[in-house]
Amino acid sequence: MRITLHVARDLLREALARNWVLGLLVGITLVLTVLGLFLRLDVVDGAIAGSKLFGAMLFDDIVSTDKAMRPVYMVAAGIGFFGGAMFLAVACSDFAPSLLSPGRIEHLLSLPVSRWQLLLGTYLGVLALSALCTAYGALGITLVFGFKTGFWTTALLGGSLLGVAGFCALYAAMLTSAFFVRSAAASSAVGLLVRVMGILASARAPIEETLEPGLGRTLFHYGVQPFPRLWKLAEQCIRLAGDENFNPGLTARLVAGSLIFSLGMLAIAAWRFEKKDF
Amino acid sequence: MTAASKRKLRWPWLVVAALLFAAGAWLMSGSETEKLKKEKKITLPRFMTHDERKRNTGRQTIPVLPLPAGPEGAPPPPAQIRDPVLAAMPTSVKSGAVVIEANAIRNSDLGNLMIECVFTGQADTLERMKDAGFDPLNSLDRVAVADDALMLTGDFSKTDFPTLMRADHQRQFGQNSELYARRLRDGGTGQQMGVWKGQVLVLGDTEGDVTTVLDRLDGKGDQTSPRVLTQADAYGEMYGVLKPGPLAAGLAEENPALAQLLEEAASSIKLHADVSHDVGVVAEIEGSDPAKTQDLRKALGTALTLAKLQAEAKGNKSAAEVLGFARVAQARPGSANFHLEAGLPYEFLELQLRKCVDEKKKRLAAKESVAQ
Repeated sequence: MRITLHVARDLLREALARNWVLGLLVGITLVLTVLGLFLRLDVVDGAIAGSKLFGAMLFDDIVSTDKAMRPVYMVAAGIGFFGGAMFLAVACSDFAPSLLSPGRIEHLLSLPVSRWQLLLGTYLGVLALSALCTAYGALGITLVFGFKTGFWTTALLGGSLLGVAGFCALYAAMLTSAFFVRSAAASSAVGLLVRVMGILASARAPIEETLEPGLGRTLFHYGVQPFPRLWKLAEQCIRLAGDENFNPGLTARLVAGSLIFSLGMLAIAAWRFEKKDF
Repeated sequence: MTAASKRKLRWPWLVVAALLFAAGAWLMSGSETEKLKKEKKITLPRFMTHDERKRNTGRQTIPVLPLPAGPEGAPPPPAQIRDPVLAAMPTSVKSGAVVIEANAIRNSDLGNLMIECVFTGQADTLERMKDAGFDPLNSLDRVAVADDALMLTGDFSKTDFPTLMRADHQRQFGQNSELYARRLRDGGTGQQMGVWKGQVLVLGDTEGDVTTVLDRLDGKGDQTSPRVLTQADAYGEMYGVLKPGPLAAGLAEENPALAQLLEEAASSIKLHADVSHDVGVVAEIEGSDPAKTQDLRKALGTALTLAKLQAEAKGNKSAAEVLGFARVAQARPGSANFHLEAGLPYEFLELQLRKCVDEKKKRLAAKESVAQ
């Protein structure tokens, strides 16, 4: 396990030196700075009496702070789940292809590292990176609004962890694809495909109702079953962040489904990796 | 290691993958159709709906009166008020005027529970009303209050008013109305009552209170001058206008500063409540000085939030939940008016009404066991 963690740490180090990842961190920092310096919230005894950004009135309703902050956290969680995962999918798409690049892979395999350790280490490294970026953004927003309103909650942090659970399925498929086609573009495309399939799987029942009974419907029914229900997971992520109608039982099933899908993908990657001659 | 043993080592990965995909599919199957907990939402009456407009049109039952012709070129006079309840309203009020759509509330989702809550243990009263030809559950349409006068509309054609009101004095008033009165044992006059065309029942403390309303219904006085409630205000299951004075008096003990601010800043409060499923209330607080109404707006918002925080701190979850629906919003930019919205979710109301019915039934059972 120590060797796997070493591989993950090396990948993290490499990632932090890349412009894409640095850009993401700078972007998050910039958003937090803008919110921290230019967002003015009039808080009176636990109620928000108005808010201004760059001096322009955002809203003027008087509502209790927790109620006013709910939509803010929900929007942040939604952006994090979809936008953040998309960005990371692009930013991390060439980690696996570069790992398998001629010269480098031979060097790595000459070290006392087994193939599954390389695979798992790379995967865990990217997951750690996504968890770090998400936690940085979520914690930053929680701190900025916490200091400004006096309302403290861990809901956004919890919601962002669900976002990471969704991303782990995406990246498992991306990593696996690299062992078949060593291309960053193909890896990104697979990430996008899993996302689309995850959304279709979430809406399986209503979509099936629109299909004629027959082979097509049966294929669709069984074809989408293994894919994680990403849209449903996003819904729960947003609900958890907004502390509104969150269903822990359903979420546990969705997260477990996403993790099992990831392990299944990694098993295919391991099969392919073990088979491949370098 | 031989090539054959290498092959043996690889295939289990695919078996594991297949098993994992199958396990994942089994675990997640059905999750996409899992129903989410029903969200508690409140319907707020912010505007007149199509059905309400239709309902109001059907209530234009007062015959059109010929209006005196004005000078040539003068703008046409405002339309005559033809809804009996609106026509019975005064042009101004001291404390307030409110109309309750009794029949709509009776037929709302919680109507049966409300009736059970009100009439459990009141079988005698209900029976007495029915004996006098008046069924409050089916014959009553609207209940309106304007200062000291109470008005009820509905079908009173079969009602025996002297029996119902235990009236001992009756006389004709004008062409369309009868007046009834009940003498008290000490010789004083009790409640006064008037019935207009068998459609509107008017109750008041003095004969003057009743006859003033009956005169307005007969079209005496200025029929075109604006009433305290107009057709545009007639939406929701409860609507009306309140003067801040009585509200401020009620608040004075608990929050004297807010009560004083309310009296100073607000000139009137227009109210609309939707009771069709849950209870949603929209109050438009009207003032003349934008700065003062802004102070009142902030004070009200703060008071509501404090009440919510207090309820949470005391562990009173239902009160905190109800207060969480309250919102103080700006009505129009730069205006001296603002909106206050509040609500009671259906689940909360249902629980309270069931409690009310159960308690009344228990009290009734205890009373009966004592009597036996």
